[in-house]
This record gives sequence, C-alpha cells and structure tokens, in this order.
Amino acid sequence: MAAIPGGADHAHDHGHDHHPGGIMRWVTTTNHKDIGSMYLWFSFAMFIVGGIMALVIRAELFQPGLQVVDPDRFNQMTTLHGLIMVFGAIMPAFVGFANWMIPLMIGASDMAFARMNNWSFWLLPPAAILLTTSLLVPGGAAASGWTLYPPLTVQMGIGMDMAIFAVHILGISSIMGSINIVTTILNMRAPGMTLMKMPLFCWTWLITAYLVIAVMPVLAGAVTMILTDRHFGTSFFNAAGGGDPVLYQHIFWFFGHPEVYIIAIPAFGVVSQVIPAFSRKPLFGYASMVYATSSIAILSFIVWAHHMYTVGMPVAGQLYFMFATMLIAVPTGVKVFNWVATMWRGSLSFETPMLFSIGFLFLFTLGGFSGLVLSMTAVDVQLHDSYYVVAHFHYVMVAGALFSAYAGAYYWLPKWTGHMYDEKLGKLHFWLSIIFFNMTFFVQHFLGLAGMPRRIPDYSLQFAEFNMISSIGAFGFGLSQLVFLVVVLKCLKGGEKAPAKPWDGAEGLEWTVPSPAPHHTFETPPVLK
Amino acid sequence: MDRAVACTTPHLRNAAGAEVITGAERMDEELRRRNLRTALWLGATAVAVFVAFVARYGMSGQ
Repeated sequence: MAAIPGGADHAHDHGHDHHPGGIMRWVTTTNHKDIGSMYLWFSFAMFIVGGIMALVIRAELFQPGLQVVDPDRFNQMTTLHGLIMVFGAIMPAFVGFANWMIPLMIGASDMAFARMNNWSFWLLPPAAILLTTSLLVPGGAAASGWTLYPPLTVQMGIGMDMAIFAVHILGISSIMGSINIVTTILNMRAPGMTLMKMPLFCWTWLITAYLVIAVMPVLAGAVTMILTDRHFGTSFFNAAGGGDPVLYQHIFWFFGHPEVYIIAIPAFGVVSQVIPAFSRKPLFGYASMVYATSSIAILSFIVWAHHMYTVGMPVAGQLYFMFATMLIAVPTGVKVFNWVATMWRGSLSFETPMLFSIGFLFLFTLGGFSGLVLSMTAVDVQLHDSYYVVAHFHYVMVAGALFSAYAGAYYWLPKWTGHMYDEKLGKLHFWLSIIFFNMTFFVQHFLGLAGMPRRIPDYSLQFAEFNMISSIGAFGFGLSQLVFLVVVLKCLKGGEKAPAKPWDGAEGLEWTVPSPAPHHTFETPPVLK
Repeated sequence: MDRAVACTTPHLRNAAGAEVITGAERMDEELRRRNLRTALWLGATAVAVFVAFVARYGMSGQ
C-alpha cells in the first residue's frame, strides 16, 4: 500500500462531534459507520426471525405426519423464511459491510449521499414489520414460496398485499443504497486510488450495485403487475383473462438469478480480503478476479430460465440455457483457483475469519458443483422442486453468503469495536456451524435424489431418517449462532484492546485509522502514491 | 447548509447551538454536482428498466 501523507489527520477527535443521545442518535444519523452498524444489527435480527421460521419448518419435518403447524401455516413459514433471509438478512448484512468499509477502504469521508443513506436503512424496519405481521392478518401471510408465483399470489388474502408492499419498499431501499455505493466508489476515491488499485471488496460491491440497479426494478414491475391483477382487473398472469402465469416466471427469474449473485458477489469480496490477510500474501490474480466477477455478473442476466426447465420449453431453449449456465463455472473456477493460489505457499494462520473463509471455499464450491448438476436439463427435470435444489441453494446461501459474512464480521470486529473478539468462542462458533450446517443440508441431497419434493409439511416414510438428521442439525446450527451473539456482545463490552492493524497480513486504508475507527475519518483525503 | 435540515438533525449543531460543518458539508460544489449527476443517471436507469418491463410485458399479457 502506498504512503499516506496526512494519514493521521483522522486520529484526533473533532470538537463538533456531538450527537443526540439515545434513540435519536440512530434515527437521525448520517454517519456511514452508524448506518453500517444499524444494517448489521438489523440483518442479524432478521436472521434470527428467519431462522426461527426455519426451525418451525424443520420441527414439522422432524418426522412424517403433521405435528407442529397446519399445511397452510407451513407454506407461510417457507415463504416468509425465504423472503426474510434473502431481503432482510443477507442483503442488508452486505450493505452493512459496504457502509462501514467502502468509505474507509477508498479514503472517503462518508458515503456520497449521507442523508439518503439514512433513509435507505430506515425503510427496512417498516418492510420487516409488514412481512412479519402479515402472519397475524386474516388468511395469514403469503404462502406461495419466496418466488411469489401466480396464480397462487393472485388468489391469496391481504397478507399477499403486505408482502408485495414489503418487496416494493425493500427494492426501493436496495436501489437507493446501490446508487449511493456506485456514486461513492466512482466519485469519492482518494487521490491516487485508481479503480484497479481498489480493494477487491469495493470492486465486488461496485459490480453488485450495478446488478441491483438493473434487476430490482424488474422485480418491482413483476410484483406491481401481480398487484394490479389482484385489485385492478388486469390479467397479466391470469390465464382465465388471457394472461400467462409462465410470463411471471420469466420476469421473476430475470431478476432472481442476478439476485443470487447480488448475494454471492459481495461474499466473494469479503473472502478476497480475508484470505490474503491470513496467507500473508497479496491476492493472486487481482485483475483476473475483477474480470471474472464482471463476467459472472454479465452471465447472470442470460441464464434465468434454468430455474424453469419444467414449464415446457423448446429443446433449443433448454440447450441454450444449459450451456450458458455451465459457462458461469468458468469465471467462478477462476476465482476459486485464485483463492487457492493465494493460499499456496503462504504463511497461513487459522484465526476465525480465515476458518470461515476456508469453510466458504469448500462448501460454496460444493454448492456450485451441485448447481452444475442442476444446470443439466435432463437431470434437472428429475430433480426440479426436490430437496436436492433446497440443499444446493443452501450451500450457496448459507455456506456461501453467511459464512463469508461471518468471516467479514470477525475480520473487521476489532476495527468496529476497538476490541479483539474471543478467539476460542469464534473457533467454537465456526466448528459448530460447519458440523451442524452439513448435518442439516448434506443429507438433503440424498432426500432430493430419492424424490422428496420441497415445500411439503408431510412426507413418505422412506424419507424419515434423513429428515430427522436434518432437523437435529438445523436446531444445532440455530443454537450455534447464539455463540456469535455472545462473541459480539463480549467484544462490544470490552476485552483486549485492538491495535489499528490487528492482522499482520492485512493491507488497505482501513487499517491506517485507529481501532475503533473514529466517528469521522479521512475528512482530508489521503493521497496514495 | 439548509436550515430546515439543520433543525431536524440536531447532531449538525454543536453544544453552543451553532451549525457545524461535517465531512459531507465540506464536499466541494463540483463533487456535489458530479455525485448528483451520477445518481440521476443511475436512478433514471432504474426507472427506465421498471417502465420498460411493465410496458413490454404488461402489453403482451393483455
């Protein structure tokens, strides 16, 4: 990293650094660090809410028959679990990382639009309240699955309207957040910080933010059309009125597949910061990482129909989507190769962030591999809507995105709190998580291969053993996450003082400011040479 | 600074009640305009995508 003249400017506290106390500090804040913290806490709270719904699902599936919830409530649980985890937990977690770290990494004083940043965050709680309280309204919450497919969504009660409204609000929040991130990265980099000198985390967020701006309006359009079908007499997706339910699936997945990468690409960014730091080597193939990430983003626009091979599609269409999907394995392979090559002959140490990154590397690759299996049309026709698909996307979403988020949280906790976290508890969290995660989801591959369909509350007897294992794993995994909460609370309360750069292999501007990072940083931009 | 904003955001005032200059306020005018231009382009892109999809697929569905 280049020398930073005037780099200590941020170290002193500013006389004007007075905040209102209590809740108003958080309501009115325009500081990127405060807003980043709020995003992270919000996402963790939503992770717990979505996790409890997952446990209701797994409790019901612990054994055949109906025990815990009725089938309609079960469907509401699967729907809300998906919506909350995707839009309420994982996406806001990475926006939290972006808020906290991007200005610090590029030497900016704050995000480009500090007040809009506050608004982006405060749109989230009303959306979360809409989603969760929809369980209490007559007819219950949306029960169509997170994909909100018609004709089910055209027929449901007011809970569906609440979900649609929540999706609109979450979409607006994501678009505003993304505009802020793109503007900050393009316009507010410190002098000398060229695009190709940016930390890879910033690159991955720049690409992700463009993806969000391109595809969130598509989802907004699709759910608006459902809304007008429900209340204003249109028949966009209603076959009885001349509409086409399959059209919705095309529009949804034109959003939905890039959405997978909106979640995964920032995760790649976090891992690309952590692995070099604990390998004590620069990231192998930085430029190829940038190009591979961009390629993945572009390819994500042209593979959407691999989610819907079974709707009836010309063979040419099936072949096209199959080969286009397989093509994504190439840039993804480049990234996995580069992470492994970064570790190769590095001076490795295995602190918690590195453990979660290696866990990510193994398990995300496994999830990618089962994705390749599913990309083959002939195989997918057998496995479509089976537990194999559930296993596949949880390897991508949990072992991919969540493990990466944990890697990032442990990596930057000293910078955020000024204290080192409890390494023993961190490692315990990792090992419990990886064991219980695999216990929960690995067996679901076998369930899917044996023919168990997803989104059902009851099942045939031959699936009983694997479901029991999976449910025990899920409860273990859920409880393990409380260890993380303990680690964070301990870290906030006190502990060993963290130096400005707690990881000797870490590089970047964020490690030039003290720990915890002062409220205002880089008011005079550093100059990179 | 916009007085209305200062009144509703008390942390932009110091203990004596005087307006304070934050990092965001210190942004020079040219950067402000550049940020606004970038944001307007990106916002317009989002709106255009929304309108294009609703118009294109909305019409085909009717």
